[in-house]
Amino acid sequence: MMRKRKGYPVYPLTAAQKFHFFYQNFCPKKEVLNIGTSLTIGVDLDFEELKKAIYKAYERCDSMRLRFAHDKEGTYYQYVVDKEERDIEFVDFTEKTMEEAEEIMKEWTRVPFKRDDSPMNRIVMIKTPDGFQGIYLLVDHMTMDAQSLICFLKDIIELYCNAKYEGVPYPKDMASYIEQVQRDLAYEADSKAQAKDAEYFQKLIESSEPIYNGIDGPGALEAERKRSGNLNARAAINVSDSVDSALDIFHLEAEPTKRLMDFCEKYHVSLATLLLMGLRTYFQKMNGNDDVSINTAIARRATLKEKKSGGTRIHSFPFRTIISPDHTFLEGVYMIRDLQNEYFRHANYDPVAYFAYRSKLYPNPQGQTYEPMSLTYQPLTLKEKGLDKLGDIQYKTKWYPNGATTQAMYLTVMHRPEDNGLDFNFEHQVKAVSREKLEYLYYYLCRILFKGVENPDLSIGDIIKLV
Amino acid sequence: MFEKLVNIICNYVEVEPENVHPESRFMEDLGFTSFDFMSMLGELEEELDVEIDEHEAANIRTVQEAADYLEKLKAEE
Repeated sequence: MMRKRKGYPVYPLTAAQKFHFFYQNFCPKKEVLNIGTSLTIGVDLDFEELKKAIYKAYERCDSMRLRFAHDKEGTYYQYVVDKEERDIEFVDFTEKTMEEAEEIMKEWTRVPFKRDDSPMNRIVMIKTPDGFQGIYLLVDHMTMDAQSLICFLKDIIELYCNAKYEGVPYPKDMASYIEQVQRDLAYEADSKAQAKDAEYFQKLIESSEPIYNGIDGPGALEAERKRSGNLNARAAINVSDSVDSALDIFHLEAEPTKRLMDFCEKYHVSLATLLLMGLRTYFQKMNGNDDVSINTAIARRATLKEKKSGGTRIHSFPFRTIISPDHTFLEGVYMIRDLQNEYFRHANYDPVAYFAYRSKLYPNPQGQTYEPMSLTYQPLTLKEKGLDKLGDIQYKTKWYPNGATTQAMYLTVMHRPEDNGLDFNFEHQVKAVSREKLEYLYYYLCRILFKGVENPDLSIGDIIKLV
Repeated sequence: MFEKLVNIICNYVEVEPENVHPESRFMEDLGFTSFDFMSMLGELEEELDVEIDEHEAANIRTVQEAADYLEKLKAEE
C-alpha cells in the first residue's frame, strides 16, 4: 500500500473518482474524461497580470495540483503537489478564422493526459479571431467537474479584477480538497450513514426490475427479446461498437425558458425536476410504458466548503419513475420532486455499488441497460459566479467535446448567460443515436414541457395524445 | 431556533447572517438549490437530534417556516 509519493501524503480514490476510472478503463479512447472549455471577453487583457492570477488560482485550488500514481498491484492513489511550475502557454488565433481556432481547441480537448505523476490539466491564454481574449482550460474529470471548473474560472477572474481594478475585493479563500476527500473516505469506510444509504437503494432496487425504453420506441427491446428468445427480457443494448461521439446543441430562447422557470418558481420545483418529467413522459409516449428509468447526475455540493473545494463529486444513479397516464402533469412533477429529495438524502452512496447490487439481482448480459440516456442539469453559470464584476463587458463561454463517450446519449442542460436561454447539449455516440433522432426527441420534449406547464392539471395521458 | 438556523444556513450559501430574515425564501432569496436544502436537513437532524420527513419539508419555503417546523418537531419529542 502506498503511503507517500514524492514526499506527499497519498489518499485512495473516492467513489466519484472510481466511477470515472471504471468507465475510462473500458474505453479505448482515454480522452473520454477530458473536459475542455474556453472563456473569452471583449476587452484587451493584461496577459502578464492574467498569468499571475492563474498561478495564484492554482495555489488556491488543491485539485488543480492533483496527481495520480499507482502501486505494484495497480491500485491508483492521489496526492496534491505544492505548486504549479509549468509556464502558462499563450496562443494568438487572430490570423485564423473562428472555425479554425475552435477546431484547434477541439483537438487540444482530444489529447489524453499521461495520468501517472503528471499534471491533469492544461491552461492556455488565448486571443481569438473575433477580437476576444481569455483562456482555454482543459481538465480531467477525475480531478474536476463542471461546477469546480466554473468555480476555478471565477477565481481567476476575481483575482485578475482585484489586481487590475480598484474597489474589487480579493476573493474569499477556497476550501480544502483533501478535507472533503477525507470526509468521503470516512463515509465509505463502513459508516452508519453509508449503511443507511445502502439500505435505501437496495430496497429501491429490490422493488422490481426496471424496463428499457428506447429513444425511438420499443424496437431495441423487441429485438433483444427475439434474439434471446426471452419474451420477458427487460434490458437492451443501446450503445454502439464505437465510442466516437458528437455534440449537438439545441437552443431554447429566453422567453420560453422564462415560462419554464416561472412554472418552477410557482410550484416550488427545480428545473431538473421539470426536465426529468419532460424526458420520462417522452419515453412513456414513445414506448407505451409507465415505467421509465433515466440516469441522473447529482453534483453533491451543498455546503460552501463542498462548493469551493474543487475536485469531482458527481454521483450518477438511475432515476426510475412509474407514473400512470391518469395522473396529472403536476402530480407527476411532484412525484419526481419527492423521489429526487429522497435521492439527495442518500446521494453519498457509491454508484458503482448501486450498479453491482442491481446486476447481482437482475443478471443481464454485459452491455445491457435499462436507461436510454443520462441527464445533468447545470444551474451554475459564470454570470452569477464572477463575471458580474466585469460590468457590461461582453463575454463568451464554449465547451469543447472530447470526441468519445461510453454512453449512447448524455444530455446536459445549461443556462445560457448571454441571453438567459437554455442550451440542451446532447453528447451522443454517432453510431448509436443520429442527429435526426435527437431533433425528434428535443421537439417532443419541448412540446410535452410547454403543454404541461401551460396545463398542469391535464393528465399525462392527454398530454401524450395532444403533442 | 431562528439564530441556530441562520448559522447553519450560512454554511450553505454565501450570505451574511444579518441578511437572513424570517421571510427570506430559501430558493429565491438565499439561492439554495433543492440539494442544498435536503443536505441541510441532514445537518439539522444531527444538530437537533430530530427526524425530518423530506416530503413534509419539501413544502417549506421561508426561514420562519423552517424554524416553526423544527420547533414543532422538538416539541413533539
